[in-house]
Amino acid sequence: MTGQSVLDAQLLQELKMVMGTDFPLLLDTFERDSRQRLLHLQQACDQADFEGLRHTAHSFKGSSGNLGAQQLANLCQAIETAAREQDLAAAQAALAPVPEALEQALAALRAAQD
Amino acid sequence: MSLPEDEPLQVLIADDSNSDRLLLETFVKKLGHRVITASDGDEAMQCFHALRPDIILLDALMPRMSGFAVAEAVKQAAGDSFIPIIFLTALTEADSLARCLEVGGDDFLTKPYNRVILEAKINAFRRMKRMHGLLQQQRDEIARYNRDLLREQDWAKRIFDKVARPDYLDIPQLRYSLSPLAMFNGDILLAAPQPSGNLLVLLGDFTGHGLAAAVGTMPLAQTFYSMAEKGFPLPEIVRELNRKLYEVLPTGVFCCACLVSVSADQATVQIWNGGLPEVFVLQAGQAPQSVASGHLPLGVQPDSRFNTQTTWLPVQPGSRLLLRSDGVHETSNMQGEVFGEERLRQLLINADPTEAFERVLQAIADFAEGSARSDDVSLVELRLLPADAPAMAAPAAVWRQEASGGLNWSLQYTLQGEAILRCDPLPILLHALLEVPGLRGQAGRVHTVLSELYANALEHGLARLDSSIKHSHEGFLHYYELKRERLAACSEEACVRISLQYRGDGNSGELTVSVQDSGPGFRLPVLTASNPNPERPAGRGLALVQGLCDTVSVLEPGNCVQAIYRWQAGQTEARR
Repeated sequence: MTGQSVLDAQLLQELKMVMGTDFPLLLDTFERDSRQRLLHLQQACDQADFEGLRHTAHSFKGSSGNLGAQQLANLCQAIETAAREQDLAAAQAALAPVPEALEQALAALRAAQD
Repeated sequence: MSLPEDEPLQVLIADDSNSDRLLLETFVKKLGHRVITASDGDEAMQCFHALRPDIILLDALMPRMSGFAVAEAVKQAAGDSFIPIIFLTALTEADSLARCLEVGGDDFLTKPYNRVILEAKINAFRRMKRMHGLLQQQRDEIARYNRDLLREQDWAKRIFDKVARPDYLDIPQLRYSLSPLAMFNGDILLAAPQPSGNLLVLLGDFTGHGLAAAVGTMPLAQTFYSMAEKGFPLPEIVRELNRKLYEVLPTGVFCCACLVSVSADQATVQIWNGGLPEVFVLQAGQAPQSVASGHLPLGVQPDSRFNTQTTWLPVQPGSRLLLRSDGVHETSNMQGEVFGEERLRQLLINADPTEAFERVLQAIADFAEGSARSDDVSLVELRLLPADAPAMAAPAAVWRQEASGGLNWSLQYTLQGEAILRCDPLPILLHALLEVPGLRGQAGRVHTVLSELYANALEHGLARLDSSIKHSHEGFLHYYELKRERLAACSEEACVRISLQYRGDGNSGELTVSVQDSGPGFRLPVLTASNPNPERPAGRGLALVQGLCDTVSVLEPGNCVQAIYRWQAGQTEARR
C-alpha cells in the first residue's frame, strides 16, 4: 500500500492550508485520540460490548474521515456495521487490520506535514 | 437583536472528538467568528447558559447528554430567540439525518467537513437570524401599538359616554334601542327640552366606525344642547350643526341625521331629515305617513348652500314617530338576505302604532337569528303625549350658570329692515334675562311672554295678518307663508324694538317687556284666558300673555304692547 491511497490527497491539502501552523497540533491530537479509541475498540471486542464498539467505531470513523484517512475510516465503518448486527466474529475480523492501518495513516500524515 | 451583514457570530462547537473539535474551531475562527467549545452535552449546556451563543454546531452522538437532548434543551431555553443548531454527523442514512431535524436541529453538516459548505450554511443562518430579529421587533411594535390603541379607545369611550347626557333620554316620550357600541359605530341619540316647552330630538349616524366616527359626536352634542337650552328654533340649530361639522370633519366623513321638534301643545311636529331613512309617523286609524330624507347629511355642504327647510305635520295625542338608522333595514339573516324596506313597511301598515316599536325590534331579532350581524340597529320611538299630560319641566340641570345679572337693568334691542326677516332676537334676549337671579327658574313663562309679544308685533303689527286664517291646518301653513312674504316686502324703514326693564331682589322682581313695531297700530283683541274662543285657536298668544302677566296694555298709537311680569319667591306655578 502506497502512502497516496491511504489518504485523500485533496482533502489533506485543504486541511494543511486551513490549519497552517496548527497542523502539527491537529496531528498530535488525532494520534492521541486514535490510540485511545483503538484501545477502547479492543476492550469492547473482548467484552462483546456491541454498544461501546459501535459508538467508538462510529466516532473513530468520523475523525479519520475528517483528516482524509479514508482507508481507516472504511475499516471503522465495517466494525460499526458488525457491531450493529451484533456479529462478534465479523467485528473482530474488521478490527484486526486497524492497528496497522492506523500506523500507516499516521505515517502518511506526518510525511505530508512538510 | 438585529445583526449587520458581516457581524461576527459567537459559535458554540460541541463535539466529543478532540481532533474534530479542533478542526472545526480553526475553520470557524478563520471565517471571522468567535468560538467557544464543549466536549460533551453537559458542558455544552453550561456554555449555552453562560455565554448565549448565536449559533451551535452540535455533534449528534456524545456520551452522557446526547446531542439530541442538548438540541431539545436549547430550543426550549431559547424561547423567542432564534438560535440555529447545526448537527455534526458521520451518519449517512436519510432517516438518521431526518431525525436530526425532527428533534429541533435546523440543519446538519456531514463528516468529513466541507469548509465551503460550512461557510455557506453559517452565512445563511446569519441572514435568517437577522430576519427573525426584524420580525420580532415588528411584532413587539405592533403589540405595543395595539395596547396603546385599546387604551385610547377606552379613554375615548369614557368621554363619549358623558357627551350624550343619557339622563335627558330618560323621558316618557322616548323609547329607543341603540347598540351597546352605538357611539363607536357613529350612532348618537340626543334629546333636549326647550324653554318654549318644545322637545327637540336628534338621531345621528356618522360615517365610518371606531374613533373616527365617534369624534364627530362631541361637537354635535355640545352644539345641540347649548342651542336647545337657549331656545333656538330647529332650523337654526340644524344650520349651526352643519356648519360645525363642515368645519371640523374631514372630507368623506359626515353625519346622516334627523331632527324632530315636538311642539309644546303636542299638536305639531317639525322634521328635518338629512340622509337617514324615512321617519314614519304612525297615528291610529291612518296609514303610516313618512318623511323621507330631503337633504344631504350634516357636514357635507358649506353654509351658503345648506337648506334648513323643514316639514311640518299635524299630529294627534298618542301618535308615534319612528326614527331609525339604516342598520334596521340592512340587517341580514343567515342566508345573506336583508330585512329590507318593504318588510318594514308591511309590518308598520299592519301594526297598532302603540306596538310598532316592539314589533319592529322583535321582527329584526327573529330575522337575524343565528347570523353574525353587526349591532348596527338604532331605532327610536317618539311618542306624542296625551293632551292632558303634565307639561314637561326642563331638567334642573339645564341652568348651570352662576347668576351674574344685576338687579336693576334695562336693555333695548332693535331690528330693522331685512334683519326682521333674517334674525331671531329671542335666544339672545332670553339668555340675558336668564342671567338674572330669580328669573332663572321661570324660563318657560318668560319665554312665552317674549315670544308671543314679538310674534304679535311681526304678524299683526308689520305683516297685518288676520289670525282667522290659522283655523285649519292648511291655513296654518298658508299663514306662515304669507307672513314670510309680507315681512320680506316690508320697507327698509320697518323696524321692531324690544325693550326690557327689570327691577328686583332675591325675593321678588318686576320685568317690563315692551315691543313696538313701525306698523300703523292695532287694537288689543278682546279675549281673556277665561273664555277662549274654541273656534279661534290662534290669537291665543296675547291671551296667554295676559294670563301670565300682571298687566298688558297697548300704548298709543296702538303699535306698542307693554306687559309687566311680576314674580314672588315661593310662587312656582304659573297663574292662569
